[in-house]
Amino acid sequence: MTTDDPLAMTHTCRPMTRRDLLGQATCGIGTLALAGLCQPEARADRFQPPLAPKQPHHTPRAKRMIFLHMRGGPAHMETFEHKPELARKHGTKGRGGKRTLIGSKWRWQQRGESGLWVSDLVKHQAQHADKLCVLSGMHTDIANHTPAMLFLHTGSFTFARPSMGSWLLYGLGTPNQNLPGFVSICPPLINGGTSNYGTAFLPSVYQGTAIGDIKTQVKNARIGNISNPRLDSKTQRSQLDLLQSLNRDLAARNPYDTRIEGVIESYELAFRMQAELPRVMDLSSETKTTQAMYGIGTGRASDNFGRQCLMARRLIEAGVRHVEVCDEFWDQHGALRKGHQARANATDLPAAALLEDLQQRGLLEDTLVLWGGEFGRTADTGRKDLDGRDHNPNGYTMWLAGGGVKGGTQYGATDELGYAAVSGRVHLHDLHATILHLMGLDHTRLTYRYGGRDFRLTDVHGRVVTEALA
Amino acid sequence: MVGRIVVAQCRADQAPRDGLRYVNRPIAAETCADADGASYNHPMRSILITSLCTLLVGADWAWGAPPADRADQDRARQLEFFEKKIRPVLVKTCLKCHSATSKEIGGKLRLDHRPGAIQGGESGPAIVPGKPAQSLLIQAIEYRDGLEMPPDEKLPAEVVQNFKTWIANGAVDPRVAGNNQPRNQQAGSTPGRDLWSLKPITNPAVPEVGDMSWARSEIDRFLLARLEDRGLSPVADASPGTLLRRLHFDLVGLPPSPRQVDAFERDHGEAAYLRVVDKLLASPQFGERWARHWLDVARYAESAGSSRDVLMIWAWRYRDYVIDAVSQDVPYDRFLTEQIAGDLLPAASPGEARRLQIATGLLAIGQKSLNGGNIPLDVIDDQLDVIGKAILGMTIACARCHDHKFDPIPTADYYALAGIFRSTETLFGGNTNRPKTVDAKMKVYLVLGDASKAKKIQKHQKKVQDLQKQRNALAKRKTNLEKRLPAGDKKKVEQPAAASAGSDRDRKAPKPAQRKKASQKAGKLRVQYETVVKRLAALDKQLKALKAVPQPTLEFAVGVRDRGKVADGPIQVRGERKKAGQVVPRGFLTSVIVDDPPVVTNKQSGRLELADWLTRPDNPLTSRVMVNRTWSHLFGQGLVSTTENFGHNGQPPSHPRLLDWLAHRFVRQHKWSRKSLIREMVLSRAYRLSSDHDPAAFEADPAARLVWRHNRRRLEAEAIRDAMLAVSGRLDLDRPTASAVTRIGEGEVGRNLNIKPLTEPFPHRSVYLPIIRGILPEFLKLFDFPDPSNPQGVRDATSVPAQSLFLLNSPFVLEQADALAARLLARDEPDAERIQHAYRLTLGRGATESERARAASYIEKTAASLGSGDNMTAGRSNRQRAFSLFCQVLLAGAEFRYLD
Repeated sequence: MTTDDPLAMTHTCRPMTRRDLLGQATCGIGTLALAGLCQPEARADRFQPPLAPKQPHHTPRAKRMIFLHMRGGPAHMETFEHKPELARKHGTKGRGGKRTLIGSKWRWQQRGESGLWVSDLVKHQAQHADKLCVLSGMHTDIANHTPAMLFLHTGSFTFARPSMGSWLLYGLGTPNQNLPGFVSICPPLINGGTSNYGTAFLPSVYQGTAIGDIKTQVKNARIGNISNPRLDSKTQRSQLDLLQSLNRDLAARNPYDTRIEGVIESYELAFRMQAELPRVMDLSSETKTTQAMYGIGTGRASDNFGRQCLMARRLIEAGVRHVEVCDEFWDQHGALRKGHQARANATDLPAAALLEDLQQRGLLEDTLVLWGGEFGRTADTGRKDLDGRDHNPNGYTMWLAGGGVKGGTQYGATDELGYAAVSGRVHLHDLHATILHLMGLDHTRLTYRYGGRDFRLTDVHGRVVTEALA
Repeated sequence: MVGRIVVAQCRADQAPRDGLRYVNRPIAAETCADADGASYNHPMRSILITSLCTLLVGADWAWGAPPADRADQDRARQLEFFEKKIRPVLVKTCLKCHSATSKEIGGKLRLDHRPGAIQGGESGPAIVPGKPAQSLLIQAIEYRDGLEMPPDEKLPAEVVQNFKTWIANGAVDPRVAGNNQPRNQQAGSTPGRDLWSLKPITNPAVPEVGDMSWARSEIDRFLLARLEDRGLSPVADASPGTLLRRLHFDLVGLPPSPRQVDAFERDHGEAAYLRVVDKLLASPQFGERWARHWLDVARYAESAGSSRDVLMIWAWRYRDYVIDAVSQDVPYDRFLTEQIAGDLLPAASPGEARRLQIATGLLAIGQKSLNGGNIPLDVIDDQLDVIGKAILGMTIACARCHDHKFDPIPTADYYALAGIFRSTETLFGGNTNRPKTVDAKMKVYLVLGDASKAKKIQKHQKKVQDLQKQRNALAKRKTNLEKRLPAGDKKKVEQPAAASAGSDRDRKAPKPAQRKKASQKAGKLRVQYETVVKRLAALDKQLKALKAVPQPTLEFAVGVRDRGKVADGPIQVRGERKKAGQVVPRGFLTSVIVDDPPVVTNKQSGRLELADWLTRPDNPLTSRVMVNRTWSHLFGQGLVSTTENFGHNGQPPSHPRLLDWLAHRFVRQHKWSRKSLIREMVLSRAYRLSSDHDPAAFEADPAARLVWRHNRRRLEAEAIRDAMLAVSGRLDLDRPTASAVTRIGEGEVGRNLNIKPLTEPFPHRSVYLPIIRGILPEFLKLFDFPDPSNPQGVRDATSVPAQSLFLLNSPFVLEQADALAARLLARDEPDAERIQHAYRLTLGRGATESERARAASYIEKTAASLGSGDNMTAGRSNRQRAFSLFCQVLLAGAEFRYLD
């Protein structure tokens, strides 16, 4: 369907039920005819910016979301799931009798009023334990990074599907039309690359906008075509005025074609975005104290991730719906102690600062924050030096904080050694369903028709984890 | 309740639209929404719900059997009776216990296919056709003589009566078991046998119309008849300039030149129009334009996409194959056969054999998850998906894990088709380990051309390898000997001429006895060593000579070939690899009926038979789908708007008779020639309508489904980019060699890929741009290029700020504006004329007085006010720069990318 109004097929237009039909049963043209006549064009009385905010399915608990993506898979038994039994059995053979169990390499303490156990590896986040809902019964379907990352982002690793951020935009639109609605800061080029913030068959308007990539320090990252290399703003405005006068002539000649209005509107948006996006991305207006709180500073391990987190806060504050920030690789099959410590040095303080900052600004109550990787790590190792953990999709931990989330709780657990989720199991589909729920969307109703089928982020699965809700 | 039917009836005050008569579908269940989701709030909506027993179809049922044969008609009526009244009851009340999928088949009686019911169970035949009184089934549902079925509750009397009537009339039941065993295990529950698109293609009479003077062609009469039914009339014809621009973009994807516009404006008679049409159809640019339409549904790309985006450096051969095939107007049935089974076709020449091998690239270029998932079964799924959506307009892949929920495609059919591709080897370039040696390449690519050439190379390679092995062994031996040999000796051997005096050994001066023994041993070693060195030199020489023997170079492609062993495959329960169920014979969709269908043998995979089945003139889908795609590209929306879905969840056709007439004609008259089909369509008057508004028509049919006007469309990404290059004078119409992806070479996105070839200027047509799934060209991506992992026949046309930013700021657009400005300024004429020319170049029309004045004033003012410039515009005068800014306005304006 050629349309400027992809919203013609939004979730608000849910599938008709029998009750709908009965409720309106009179004699006349049938459903099929109706569908045939209701081309989007017919319904678009006037131009609707495709990303304009939309009515959610129910009152949302969170209006925006930040995903702190710990790419590579942090070990749950080194961060947020205390495994004393594993420590006791350190050095003995694990299940199957071939590999050796290894206890956590960091000190553990109960934190906050809630008394959640958190390791010293993430000691800064630990200070916010009472804000966290730690999901320790997470499990996913696959143990390789790339498919697991795609699964985490799109709910599928075999087929091209829209990413979660795209679904959110499709379902909710975005508050600030001068900024992209979905931003991915420093996304990886591998592990699925652009598919992790792509739209697949959803209209491209819901695509995530990348700022930089994993190999580019975010301070050097630029958005494509955001400024004109030749013209100052005033000169460009006068060029745009001529352009818009021609567009308006065309619109006037075709008053029933709202698409031309759409073009006019998109130019005005673009022009405003040129001014606004660089301003939001510019961290220099933040105080020294704030920058320091995020761990920003030349030579500091947390500089890059701190900038990402601060930028994420600025973006959502300015009205971006969904922001993902991405860390380097938590993939320590070997040199675990050193490697995990390095990742924590880079990310722990910024993540904690983000929670603190959001709270100080009153944003945390309706901002959802998600932390975690594409899977967890094993309780045992095949290495002689007992300093490494491998991929574990069967049980791992992620945490949620902010809008609508029950803070200071740990929901679910792996077995006493951390091999697999045994209680409070939350599959990735369930996490997706829960996120959509918190954002005001029913995962079974947020559908998009492609190739004869209504697709969902959660496919035919997903349970809202009510135990995690405040 | 399964049997409840939503029925659409035509309102008495409206003339029937033929699109409505066969409306009869179960209400959509949970996951799959009603058509296009969004149907309410329309004033005309009104629905009549009827009970199970409603009969809705009149005698003029558009898709019923042709009135030729009375017996056929009778059978059709009986079939319909079965579908409406018997099947739903069977499904609801009987099949739980009496079908192949029942946990335990009650009384060994199966009612899920006709032979089962007639053969009967433990108690004997359940049905005696024509004799209800003797049928045990009737006895049971009447609760007579100890038989009580269904056990919970007696069926209503009218239902029992229906069963009696049905049996009395011969118990007509389409659920026959295929081959020797029941293929379709759940035939009883298979929905959608009454799907319009599966009914035979008819050859409807061209309708009479009131206004015979308007209609130019049969197409026009079909369209006008419907408009007249509704009391509507078409708008005026498009102006010559508008029509020419439309025709050029539609047929070749490029704007007409000002000279062509001038000529056509002077003479736009029928003969002149015909000349233009034929010239465009014959031009190579036509092939490039229409090949891209096919590549959209063929989900063409040059990398694996998904998890590990490994490049497919030979995929471009398939792209070029499609372009050539479209240019040469290879008949569509042949075109499909080549792509499904080219390797199995006889070839008249080596070049033809090569072409046919490349054609099978269709089956290899899909997205693959090379890391995780299940590659063999996922590749097959992708192949069935593309065949289903691109060729048949059916979502076959839905039946991978369960029977299709809405269309009559049981899982068994899916695996019958899958067996064909299990017997086929798909060579897409292999896994994440990239092939380096010729041997490795031959394992993962198709080798083009003469197979003996490859054998020769392999033989040669083997020789080289063997020799290399010998040499390496010898070299190792030499090193070992060297270690044992007294230091000086080595030198002596290598430089026999040099004297041994003053060597290290002499200086060490061991005792005489030791010296003698050592010297004997050393002598022996020395001889050995000398031999080794000599042999090594000889081997090196031999190896060098062998390597210097010129070898034919091998050419590779992606595509398929039959496996050595072909076999039927099992149903994978729920699509899971580890759960193999019943083996199903290879075959096709059981619900798509062709006369005397081809039979898959044990000699070949069955692809040739599949191609045969797909391209039979009486295959109800293939020609309808292609005719509809063609219509969609020319008229802006398909007669069936869901071009990939002719199933229950697709849209029914707006003009079913016209669709059939076109499909019939495409096959019988045009002999599957797409050029002839396109020609027929663009010669209609309907194609030449303006896109003007008409309040009355808009009120009645706002989307112009009835074609009372032409649809204004946004151009596709490729057409916009090509048009920019064309008007800037930068377009290179030559076909580039291979692809930028080939120049990058073997590799994977994000893993040290040399992406320099992607950043080089590319003046060729956009169809040749490199399509790496993870790094789509910016221009294409911004302007709604379809995700190349999913077949998509209709492009989106969004307007988003990212496009505007690109048009305002990107180097590409600035360069085209500069070039266009230079082109204008090179003309020896006043600015007013230059502005006029700029309009004709970019928009195919002259500027209005007001437009000319605004442009002139803008250029003047801007030239006066521009600052000193920047690096990129150094050396250009303010006037040049102002002209460039004006040109950019024309390129960036909405009119440039919308087609009236």
